[in-house]
Amino acid sequence: MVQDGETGSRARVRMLAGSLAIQIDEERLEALAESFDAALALVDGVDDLARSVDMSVAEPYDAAWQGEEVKR
Amino acid sequence: MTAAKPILTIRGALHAMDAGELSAVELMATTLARIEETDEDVKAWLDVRPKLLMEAAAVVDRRRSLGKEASPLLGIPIGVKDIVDVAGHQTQCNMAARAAVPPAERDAEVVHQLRRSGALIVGKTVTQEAAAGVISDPCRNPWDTSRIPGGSSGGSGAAIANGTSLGAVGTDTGGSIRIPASLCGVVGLKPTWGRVTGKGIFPLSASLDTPGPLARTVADAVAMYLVMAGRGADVSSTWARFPEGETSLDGKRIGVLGSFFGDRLQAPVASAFAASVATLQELGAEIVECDWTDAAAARAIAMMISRIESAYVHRDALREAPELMGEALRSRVELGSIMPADAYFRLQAARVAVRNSIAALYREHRLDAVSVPTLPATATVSGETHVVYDDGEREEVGPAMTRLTQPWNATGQPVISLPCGFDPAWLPIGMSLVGRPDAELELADIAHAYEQANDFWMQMPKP
Repeated sequence: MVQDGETGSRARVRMLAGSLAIQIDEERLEALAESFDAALALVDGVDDLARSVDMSVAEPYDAAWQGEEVKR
Repeated sequence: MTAAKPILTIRGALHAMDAGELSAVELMATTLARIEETDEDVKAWLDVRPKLLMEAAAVVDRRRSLGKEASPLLGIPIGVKDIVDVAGHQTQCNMAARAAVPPAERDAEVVHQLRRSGALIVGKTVTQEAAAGVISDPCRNPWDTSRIPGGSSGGSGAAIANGTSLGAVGTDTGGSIRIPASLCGVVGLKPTWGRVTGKGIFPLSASLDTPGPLARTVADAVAMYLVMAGRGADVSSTWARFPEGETSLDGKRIGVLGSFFGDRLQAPVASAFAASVATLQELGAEIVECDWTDAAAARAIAMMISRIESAYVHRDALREAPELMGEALRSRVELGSIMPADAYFRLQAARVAVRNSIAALYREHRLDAVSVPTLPATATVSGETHVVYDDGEREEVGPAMTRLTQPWNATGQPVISLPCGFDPAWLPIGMSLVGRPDAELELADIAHAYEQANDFWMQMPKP
């Protein structure tokens, strides 16, 4: 449960972990909140790449390499 | 630090056994003696059963004496990373929670294929806890037993370097074949993702996990790869593809990637890599300097996907017995567990984008392969938390060792890491050659030509 007055990443991490029945003690919570923020920043950092792809179209794993002769 | 006698390879051992100059019993006895002699310090091996192995070797010699044997790896001693099931052996994965796990009832598919090829499974090799890391404690690097062998296939790399196995099975999710290959001075082949089955292998990250071989030479690694991929029938015709002696790289175009792969390297690594590029050019390859601007993104994508998928693997353990997990694994799984589904989907989309961009780079420059340093550094002392660069900059060991390997897990391309030099402390340095999907043999052509042009592969640690 989110504790009174707790906000930001600590609160979000506590809530997410609680919803998954993962026990996070106070000593670990701060470090996990920092890691969580850093991880979300990494994901945000690749968002332009993600948005450049139409994921509604299923393609084979190596589609990027098919259809054109890569070698000379 | 160099060996006084010729290094025994899979090819050399097969040739000697075919010629009647070596028996499987003699080879196994030598292997076991070497383990006995060295493993107290190196600690690469688990669960080696000498009596059974000698009996199995004797059976191999009887089979060979019948003269009708077509098994491609008959009598070759092989180690198996301890996340891969071997029937009758525990698969402990260096995890406290699996200390009392029952022995596997059947072989993993790759082990089954190796046995079908006539290989003899010597035992399990030490890995990092759950294959999630680069230390592989308690295993040590045979070149300097105060140092790490890399990981997570650390025992497999150390066993090859140490001469206690001619080949070993590894797996690679973020570099776990290539990192120990580089730090231990041996060859590691990460095949195209999905081409070698993970059936019977304890997973880390399903969309990244890639089983593959470690061996002394490129040709040996290719032979093992073919067997592991269920193509053992191709092995005998493949040896001729990799002739001993110098071969030409005329007509090959090899990309050398700048920026991301050239920044923050220890000076001896940078020097050795530059020299290896010069050698590739001298062999006839056309060197194409180019840049893959999505490399850092590819690394981030693979790292985060790995964390989320490994959290799925360990979800029950995290709830029920987190105290049995080491701190690094527990932190990794906690983080992966709470990442939003939206993040995972964005990462998968971005992964498609980086696959597109690397394919476009190969197409634009008409590349046969790309060459990069495998790692930015040589082996660190066990217990050290950071790699130190020449300008004093420090980088945590785990992120440092996976920085240049992980992009290729995002793209799923085949990669061969092979020795390309030594630092002043005589610690091995590795170079990686990265190919197009399913071009393992063409990639091996280039790696083999480089290997034959120098003697790095012949070096061995002092006993």
